[in-house]
This record gives sequence, structure tokens and C-alpha cells, in this order.
Amino acid sequence: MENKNTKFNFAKAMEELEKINRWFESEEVDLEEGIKKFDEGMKLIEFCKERLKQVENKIIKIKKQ
Amino acid sequence: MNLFDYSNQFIKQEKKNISNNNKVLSVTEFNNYVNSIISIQQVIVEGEISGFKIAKERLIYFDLKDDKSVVSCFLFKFQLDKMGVVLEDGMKIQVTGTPNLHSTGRFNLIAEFIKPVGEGSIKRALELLKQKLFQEGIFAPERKRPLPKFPENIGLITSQDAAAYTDFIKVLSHRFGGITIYFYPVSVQGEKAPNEITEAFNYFNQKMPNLNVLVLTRGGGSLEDLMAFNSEKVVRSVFGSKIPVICAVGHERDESLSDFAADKRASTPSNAAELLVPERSEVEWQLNKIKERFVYQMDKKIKSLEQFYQILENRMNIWWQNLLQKLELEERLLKSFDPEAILERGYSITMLGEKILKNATQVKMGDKIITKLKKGKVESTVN
Repeated sequence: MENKNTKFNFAKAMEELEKINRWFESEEVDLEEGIKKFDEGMKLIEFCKERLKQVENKIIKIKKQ
Repeated sequence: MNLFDYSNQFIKQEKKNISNNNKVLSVTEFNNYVNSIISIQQVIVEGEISGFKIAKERLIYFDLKDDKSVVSCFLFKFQLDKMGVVLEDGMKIQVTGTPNLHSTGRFNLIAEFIKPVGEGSIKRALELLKQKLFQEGIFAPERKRPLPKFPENIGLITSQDAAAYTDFIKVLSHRFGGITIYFYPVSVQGEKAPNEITEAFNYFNQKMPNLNVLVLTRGGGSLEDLMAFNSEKVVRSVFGSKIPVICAVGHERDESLSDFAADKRASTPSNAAELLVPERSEVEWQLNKIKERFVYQMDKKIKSLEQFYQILENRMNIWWQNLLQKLELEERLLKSFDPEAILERGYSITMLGEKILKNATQVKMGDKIITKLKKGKVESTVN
């Protein structure tokens, strides 16, 4: 779980959500596409919420040569 | 024993030696001899600059004075540039250098290192360096890059013992998790600091160019404590970093040249963490808002689609009604043209053979004509 979350890029997910939001606000009336986008958005929101549950930050000290 | 006493004693001893030998020296030998005595050790001299001049863009001369005495100082321009110090008359400085008697008989202090002292001079030197770097465009706002919105890999450059380190880590973790912080420990004050900070920037830019952001920070201190962050070397490292840099030096009021060269300036180490990542609850709220919007938009889309079909249906109804009306009208019209309908009203049609009679000249005596009535027909002969 932790591994998966680390690989998952929060910034990109938020960017995708913004894109979907913009699509919804456009005047298109394509219900089929809308349902697809809606599903995708809901999944991204869940991912992000899961990611927010991570509390720890990892510190790696660099050893000088 | 201070340096002055030490030199006096040394010279007295030498004096005796020379008298004993009775040796006659050439001028060159004499100057060399004097040099061999006076240039044996480095000295640090503090005084005020006067008569500062740059000759041939290469050589720098100035006098260092106090209220009683004056000594000429000399160094190459490239040395001063490397030190990142800008000098002018009236500035109080410490010169680390070697006394020297030139073959022309001119006595100099050959400067190897110069540092402004006293708050006035330090501030003035800083101001001059700031002007120089400003003219080079190092602080230009148009070159500043936006910081990433949700950084996941951060390079941290500070001292481990400093409160700045603890503050930054604490505030960061309080706000957001799942971040990897690559920490490069450096001295944040003292002579070693500028080199170490520069090395850290080189390390991150060369070995970890994919980091989202670099954080250069230290806590508050006196102007002299913060000098590493005003050194030209560090400022240029900040400016030259390919990875965006956020710089937080000192307290609210403190400013350093590194702050101005960075992509983003934070007032304190904690503020740097605040500027870098949003608070969890804030993001969660935002996510909920987005979710609400999606649901609302989806609902709106479905409704607008329903509306669209409603309109379509209405239109089709109207079109159908129109069509029916038109058909009815045409039927009636057609019916009115039906000759049978005329007979109905008592009119009749008279025919000669296959032709309908419209004019009396069409017939002659003895022609047989047929008159069609509503019911049946009458045959007649024309007289």
C-alpha cells in the first residue's frame, strides 16, 4: 500500500482533476463521455484522499564524500 | 608580545648582525633584505579605506588609515572579485596580507583577504554587491520560476543543529505527509559556510536534478552571522540552480541577497514549509468541493440532456400537427375541385362526344349532345 502511494503522484492527480473540472464546465453535452470523466474523477479523488492519510515524511541525510 | 614588539626586537637583533659584518649592501640587496624581514608573516590590519582606485582594470590600490597613520595596500582585481567584496572610500575593513617593500621603494601591504567590519561598512559593502548583482539581472523577477504545487521530493540545505532544521521539518510534517526530504548538512555561518552551501547546490543539481525544489534556510542571527547568505558565491549558486529554490534566512525582518536571488523568498524556516505545501485539511476540503462540483455538473448534464429531448419532442409534435393540418387543407381543396361536387349544387356539364361544351359556336345543327346531371344524363339534338 505504502509503495503504491509513494509511486502515485499527487500533483499529477490534482492536475487531472482540474482538467476534468474544466471539461465539465464546458458546454458539451456528451453524456457517455461525462460518465467516463465522472468515474475517473471520483477515482482520483479517492486516491488523493488516501494519499492525504500519509503522515510521515522521510528524511534521507546525504553523506558528503 | 604583540606583533609590534616582536618586529622591534627582531630588527634590533638583525641590526647588531649587520654592524658586525660591516657589509655594504646594494639597494636591491637592501630592499630584499628588508623584505625578508617584513614579509615573514601574514598580518591582519584594520582601518578605513581612502584613495581607492582601479588601475588598468587589473590592479587595485588604496590607502588604509586610522587617525594617525596610513599604509598603502595593493591587490589584483580578480582577487577582489573572487572574494565577492565591493569596496569604496570610507569603508572600514580588515585586510589580511603581507607587508612588502617594492623595488621602487614603495611600501605596501599586499592584501590577500579583505572583509568589511562594523555594521556600517558591512551594510555598505552589501549594498554595493547588491547593486552589482542587480545590474547583472540576478534578482530579476521575470526569471523567477513558480514553485511546484505539491512537491514530493525536496532538497534541504541547512545545518542539522539549527532550530531552522527542526522548525522546517516540524511544520512540513504537520501540514503534509509522504514527502521525501534529502538533507544536505552544511555550516550556515563562518568561513566554511559559503563553500559548503555552494557544494550542496552543486550536489543536488548534478546528482538529483529531478528534485521538485531546494530549500536553503537558517534561523536568525546578527548581520555577520548571516553573511554566508550574502556571499557572492552562494548568491550565484542560488541563481544558477536548475532546480527551483526557496530561501528562508533569519527572522521576518532579515533579508539576504540569497533571498532576492531565489525563486521564492520565505520570511522564516517555518514560513518556507508553509509556502511549499498546503495543509491536509485544506486539500481535503478542496477535494470535497471538487467532488460536489462533479456531482452537480453531472446532474446538470443529465438534466440538460432531458431538456434537450423534451424540446425535441415538442418540436416533433408541432411539426406533426402542422403536417396534419396541411394535409386536411389540401384534402378539402382537392374535394372542392371534384366536378361531382358541382353537380351536387345543381349545375350540369354538357359534352359533345368527349369534349366539354364551353361555347355555343362549338355545335351545329343536328349535333348530339349529352348533359350530365347529378343523377343520370339527358341526350339532346341541337336545332
